[in-house]
Amino acid sequence: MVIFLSTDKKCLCFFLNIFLSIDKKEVESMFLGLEEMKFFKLRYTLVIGVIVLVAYVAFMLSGLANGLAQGVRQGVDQWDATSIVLSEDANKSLNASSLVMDDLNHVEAKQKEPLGQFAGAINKVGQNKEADKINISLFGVSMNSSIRPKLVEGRYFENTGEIIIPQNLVDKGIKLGDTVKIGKLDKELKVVGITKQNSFSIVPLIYTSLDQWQELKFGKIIEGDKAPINGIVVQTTPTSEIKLETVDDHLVKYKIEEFIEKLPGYSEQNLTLNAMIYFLFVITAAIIGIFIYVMTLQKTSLFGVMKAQGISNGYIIKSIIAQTFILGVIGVAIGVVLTLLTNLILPSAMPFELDSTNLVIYSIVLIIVAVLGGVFSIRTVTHVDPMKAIGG
Amino acid sequence: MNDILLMEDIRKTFGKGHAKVEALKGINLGVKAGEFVSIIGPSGSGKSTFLTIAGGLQTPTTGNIMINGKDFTHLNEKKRSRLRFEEIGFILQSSNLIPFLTVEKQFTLVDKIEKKKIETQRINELLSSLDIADLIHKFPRDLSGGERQRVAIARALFNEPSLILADEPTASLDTEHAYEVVKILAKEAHEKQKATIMVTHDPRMIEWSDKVYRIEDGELIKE
Repeated sequence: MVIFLSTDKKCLCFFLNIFLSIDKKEVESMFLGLEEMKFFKLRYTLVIGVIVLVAYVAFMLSGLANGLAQGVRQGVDQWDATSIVLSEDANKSLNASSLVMDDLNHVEAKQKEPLGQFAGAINKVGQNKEADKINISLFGVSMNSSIRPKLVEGRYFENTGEIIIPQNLVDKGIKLGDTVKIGKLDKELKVVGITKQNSFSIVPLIYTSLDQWQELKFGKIIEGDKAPINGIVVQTTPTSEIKLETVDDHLVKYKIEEFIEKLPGYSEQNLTLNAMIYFLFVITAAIIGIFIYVMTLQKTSLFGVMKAQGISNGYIIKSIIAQTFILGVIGVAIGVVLTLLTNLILPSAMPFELDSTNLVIYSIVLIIVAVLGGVFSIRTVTHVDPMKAIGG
Repeated sequence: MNDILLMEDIRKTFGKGHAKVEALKGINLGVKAGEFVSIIGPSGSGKSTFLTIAGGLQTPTTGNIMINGKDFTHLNEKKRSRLRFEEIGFILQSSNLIPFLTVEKQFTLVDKIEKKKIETQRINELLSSLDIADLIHKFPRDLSGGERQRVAIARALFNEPSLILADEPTASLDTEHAYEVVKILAKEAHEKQKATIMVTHDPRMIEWSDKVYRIEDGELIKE
């Protein structure tokens, strides 16, 4: 709801600004277009309807793309880190990276945190049915780690056997104080804290201690310098200033953005969805272009009459452009409203997240693209022979 | 008194070689302010070509046209369209009204193009003088043929042009209404000192004209 309101406000402001920025002179050239739209209501309602649908699909796709992207990267984003150090052979994959606690001493940076990653399924004790298992991601961090997410309820883990879970897992029926089992480990783990919604690889992200993580992943706990970890997260030091002092160069540092790009499926899914959105922009231009072109052809004799009256090509063209602009703004505005309403009723399981900046940018692009569609018809107007109107 | 419209040796040919058609063969005509000129001729005689050339919708192959002392022939499209807007009022066969504008807005459009204030009073006066004040909020499709032509005349007069060109303004009307429209045209020409040319195929309509020409095979002959 909060997201809805803030997005809503930004978009409303955007559209208000468009309407306010139209000065009197532009209204003059809109006169003809507006009157025509009032007269041929059905015709123009249909055009607007098409723009609404295209805009709606574009916004929904953008929301889905954003939601999916968030689902993949949220857990990394909330570290608020600049860089991550992984083993050289891992090729930017956290899962494939294997380091030991001793490597922490070879990384020279102010705030560095060891990290272990695990993926598995969780189920509440007493519910061993396959259907009740929920897939999760799990990060193991040191007891007082600064990359632990903020708590909304309960406390942080203080001993092994304790975990903190995100709100999106609570939504699936696991509560504070519940005992759960993760993976094949037989030990019962206790939920001691709840964090706000958090995901990694599109599944809820649980945090626990490094020791507990080791036990989950390897079935045993190794202590000291040889204790395994997956990576080292560096929080404040810029990537370029991190010094790696190793004999065999087995450590590599990456900027967090670079690391996120390489998260499994992340760039592929973004590319696919964004490509669909870009295609929609092209389709919008084509649809509006064709509509306006056909309507322009129908109006040939009218343009002839107007030219006989001495109304210039310039005025006629301006009025067509103004008309497509109005159609675009109305269509996109309705599309935005529909999207915001849909956002309210979508089930939380759907990874849908609206980004107001994106929404505004896409709105602007769609309106520009609609106007470009109208531009196709300019040639037709300038080539209309007023003789035809007179029937001579 | 000077001629409002002066046409000197206007020729217009279409096509080339064997397909060459001479639509106008050297037309000379002068029309003064307040003069109501009728041009009659059967269809295909070149009268529509004549009128569209006089109004600058086509350019003649050779010859000169002066409107109010200004050379009209050698202007570019943009300037010709401007001059047409300011100096010429066209009245067309069916109607030169914009279908999606009410009668009133046909006139507001003119003011908007000129970026002037809307002259509501002048619109009302003009419509009253033509007895159509009560049609002000109607769309062209709701008007009868006679009413539509009267609105078209009002629209042509609204820019205060010095020249009125009417192309078969009575073509779609019954006799009674046709006479009425021609009478209005003649009255406006005389009262408001407009040079008016009406092209028609109907010889009954020439009764109120000051001068009558016949156009035949591209030549203009005074009756």
